[in-house]
Amino acid sequence: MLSKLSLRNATRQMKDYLIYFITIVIAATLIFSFNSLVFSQEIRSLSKLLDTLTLMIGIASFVVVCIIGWLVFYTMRFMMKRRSREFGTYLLLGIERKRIVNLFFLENLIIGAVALLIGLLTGNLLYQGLRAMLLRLYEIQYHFSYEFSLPATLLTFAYFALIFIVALFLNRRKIRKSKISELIYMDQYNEKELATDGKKRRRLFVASVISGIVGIGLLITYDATFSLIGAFAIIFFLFTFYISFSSGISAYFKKHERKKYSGNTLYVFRSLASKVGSMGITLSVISILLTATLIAVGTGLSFNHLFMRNAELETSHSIYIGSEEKADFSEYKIYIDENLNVTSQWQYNIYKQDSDSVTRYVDPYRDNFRAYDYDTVMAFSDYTRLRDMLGYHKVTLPEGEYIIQCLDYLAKPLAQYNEAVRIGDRTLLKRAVYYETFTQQHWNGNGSGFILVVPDEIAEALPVSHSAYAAMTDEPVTMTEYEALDMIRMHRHETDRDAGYDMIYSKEVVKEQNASLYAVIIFPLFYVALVLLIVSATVLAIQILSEMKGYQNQYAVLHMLGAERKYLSSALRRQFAVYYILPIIPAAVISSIFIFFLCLAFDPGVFQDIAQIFMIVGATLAIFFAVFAIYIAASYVSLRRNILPDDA
Amino acid sequence: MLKVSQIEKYYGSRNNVTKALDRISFDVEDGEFIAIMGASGSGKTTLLNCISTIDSVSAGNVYLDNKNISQIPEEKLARFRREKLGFVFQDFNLLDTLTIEENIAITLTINEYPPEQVKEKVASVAKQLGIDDILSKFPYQVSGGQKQRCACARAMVFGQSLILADEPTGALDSKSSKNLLELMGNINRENGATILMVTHDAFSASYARRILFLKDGRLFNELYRDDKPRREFYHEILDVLSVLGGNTGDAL
Repeated sequence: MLSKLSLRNATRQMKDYLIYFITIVIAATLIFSFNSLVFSQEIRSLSKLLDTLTLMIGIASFVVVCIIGWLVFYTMRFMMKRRSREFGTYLLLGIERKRIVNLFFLENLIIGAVALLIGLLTGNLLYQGLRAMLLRLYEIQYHFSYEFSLPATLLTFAYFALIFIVALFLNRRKIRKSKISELIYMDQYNEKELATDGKKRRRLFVASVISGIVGIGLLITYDATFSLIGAFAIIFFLFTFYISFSSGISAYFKKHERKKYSGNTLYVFRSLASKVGSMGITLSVISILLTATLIAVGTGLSFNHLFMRNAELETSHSIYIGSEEKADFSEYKIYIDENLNVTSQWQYNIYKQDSDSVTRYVDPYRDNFRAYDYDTVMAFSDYTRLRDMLGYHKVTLPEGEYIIQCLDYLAKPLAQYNEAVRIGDRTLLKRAVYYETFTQQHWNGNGSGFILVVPDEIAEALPVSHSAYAAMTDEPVTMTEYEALDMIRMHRHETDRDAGYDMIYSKEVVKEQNASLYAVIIFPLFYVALVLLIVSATVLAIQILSEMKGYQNQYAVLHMLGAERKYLSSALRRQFAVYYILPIIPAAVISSIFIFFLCLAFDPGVFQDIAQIFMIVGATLAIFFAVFAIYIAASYVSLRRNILPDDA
Repeated sequence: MLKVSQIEKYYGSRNNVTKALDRISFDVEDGEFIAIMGASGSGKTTLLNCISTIDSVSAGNVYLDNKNISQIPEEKLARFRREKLGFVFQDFNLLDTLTIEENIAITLTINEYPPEQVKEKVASVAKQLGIDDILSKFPYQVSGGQKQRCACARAMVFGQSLILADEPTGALDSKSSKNLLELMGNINRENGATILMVTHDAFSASYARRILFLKDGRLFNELYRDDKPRREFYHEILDVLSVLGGNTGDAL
C-alpha cells in the first residue's frame, strides 16, 4: 500500500518538478560522460599529457557532486514544505513518522534512479560527442565505436547514491522534529525579515557594497592571496546585498505609500515580501553560483583563445632547435636521421646587430619583454630557404634594402617603422614586413618577436647571436620523439655547462600540448560551468514553480475581483523578473570585470587588440544567456500556463 | 437594479443533461437585502455565479442597471466586476501575503483609485466595519469573523453597487455570524448597498428583507419580511423549509 502510494507520488512529483528532473538527468549525463573519458583507454592513449585529466575531472566531479547534492537537498526541502500538509495528515491519521520518512525516501530514490538510468543512456551519446571533439583536437579521424564503461557507470552510480543518501539524511531530521500542527500550517506563514532594524540594515547595505567594490579590486590584483581575499569579499557582498536588499523592500514601501498603491505594485511587492527570508538567501546563493559559472565559462573561452594563439605564434617547423653559441647539432641529428623521416632541413646562424633601435621600437608592444639587447639579423639566403621549407610565397630583396619578418601582432606597428638600418658602413632601407609564423615567440628563435633580413654578405660580417637547426618531416613528430630530443638536450647541458641553453620547438608537439591543455583545462571548466548554470536555473525555477499553487489561488481571487488579464500577466512578469534578473546583474558585472582583467594578464599578442577581449566577454555572456534563456522560457511558460489557464 | 430573466444553465453532454437552473426570473430593487435559500445542489451557487459573471448562462438574460451582462464581451467583464460587484465568500478568499489593510486596498488599486487617497478610504470603511484596529495584521493573525468583515470591506470599499455573498457565515461561529449579519444589515440600511446572499442557514437568511427559495434549479417560493420581527420571520422560513424538504437539519 505504502509503496503504491509512493510510486504514485513519485510520478506526480516528476510532473510537478519536470525541470528539476531534467536537470538531474543532465547531471547524470555529464557525470557519466566525463568520467567515461577518464576511464577510456583510447582517450588516455592520445597523449601522455592527458594523465592529469583524471585529476582535473576528479576535482570537477567533486564540485559537481557538491552542487548537485545541494540542488537535491534544496528540492527535497521544497517538496517537503509543499507537502507538509499531506505529511501532517498522515501523522494525524496515525501513520508512524518512520513510515512517512520511508515513504519520502522511497519516492526520491525512485526519482533519482529513473534520472540516473536515463542519464546513463544519454551519457553514452554525449560521451561519443566529447570523444569526437577530443579526436578532432588531436587531428585523428573519428569513427563510431561503442564501449561500455563499467567503471564510469559504477562511479556515476556511487556519486548519485552519495548525493541522495546525504540529502535524505539531512532532510530526515526535519520530518522527525516537526510537530503535526507545524506541518499542517507550515505553508501559511509569511517569512520574517532577516534584518528588521532600519539602521542595521542600512549599515549592512553600505558594508556590502563597499566589500563588493573592494573585492573586485582585490580580485584583479593578479596576486593569489589578494585574489582569494577578494573572492571572499565578493561572496560576502552578494550575501549581505540581497539580505539587506530584500529586507529593505518593506521599509521602502512603508515610506512610499503612494507607490505601493499604484498599479499592481502592492500585490507584487507583498508576494515577494512574504518570502524575504528565503528569497534573500536564495538570490545570494544563485548569484554566487552564476558568478562562478560566468567566470568558468569566461576563463574557458580565454584559455581556448590562448591555446589557439600559442599554436599560431610559436612555430610552424616540425623541428626547430635553437642553440646558444654552439653551432653543433650532431647529437640531435643522429637521433633525427635515425627516427624521423626528414623531407628538408637547414642549419644557419642568427646574427647580432650592434644596435637595438628596432627592439626598442617594439618594446612597448611586447610589454617590455626582451630576449636580446640587440636587433637580430638573418641572411637573406637562409630566409628564402626557410620560407621554402614552410611553403610560404617567394620574396625578393633588392640591393640596399632589408625585410622585417615578425609576429603577426607586431606587423601593424612595424609597418609604420620606416627608419633605415645602418650596418657597418652600409645603410639599408625598409622593403617590406612579413608576418607568417616563423618561430619568433620565445628564446633562441628566429629573433625575438621580429628579425631583420639583410643581404648575405652584410649579415655574415656580423657576430653570431645563436645557431639554429630547422627541419620538416613527412609524419607528425610525436610526443615521444620530442621527449627523446629533449633528453639529448638535457644531456648536453649536463655534460657541457658552458654550452649555453638549447630550445626545441615542434609544431605538432605544440598542437598536442594545446590539445591536451584544452582537454585538461577547458573540458572540466565547461563541465563545472554547465552544472552550475543548470543548477542555479533549476533552483530559481523550483522556487517559482513551487509557489505556483499559491499563485494560482491568488490570481483566481484577483481575477474574480475584476483584475484584467493585462494586470495579471504584468504582475506575473514582474514577479518573475525579480527572481531571474536580480541575481544576474551582479554576477554579470563581477565576472565581466574579472574576465576582462584575466585576458589583459595574458602575454602580449595573445589578444591582438582590446576588441578581441570584449569579444571573449561578449561570447561568455552570450553562451551563458543562451542556456539560461531555455530555463527561463521553460519555467515562464509552465508558470503562465498554470496560473493563467485560459491563455489564448 | 438587477433583473434576472428566464435564465437556464445546463451541465453535461447531449445525452445526459443536468439542469442546474431552470427558467429562473426575479427582480432586485436598489438597496434590497435578498437571500437565496435551498438545499445542497438546488442551484444556489450556480445562480450566484451566473449573476457574478464568473459563470455564463446557457439561456436567458441578466440585467444589472439595465445592462445585459450576459452580452458583455469577456474582456470587458473584468472591468464590470471590479466596478459594480463586491464578493464575500464562505472561505474569505483573502490574499495571505497582504495585510488586512492591503486586502481592502487591492480593490481600489485594481480600479486605479488615486494612490494618495487609498489609505484614507480604507480607513473609513474599516472603521465602519469595526476592523480599524487590525489593519496592519496579516489574515493568519486574525479571527474568522474579522477576516469576513475584511472581505465585506473589500466588497464595498469602491462603492460597488451589488454585494454578492456566498454562505458568508459558513465558516464562522454563531457569535461572529450574528455580528457579521448585523453589520451587513447596517451596510444595507445605512449605505444603501444592495446585497444578494446565498445561504442554507435559516438564521442567516432571517436578516434579509426578502428570501427566494430554490429547489432543483427552480424558483419554489418567495418570502417577504415586511415589518415582521426577525424571530417571527425566522419561524416562517423554517416552515417553508420543512415543506421544501431537503436538508434543513443544520438550520435548527
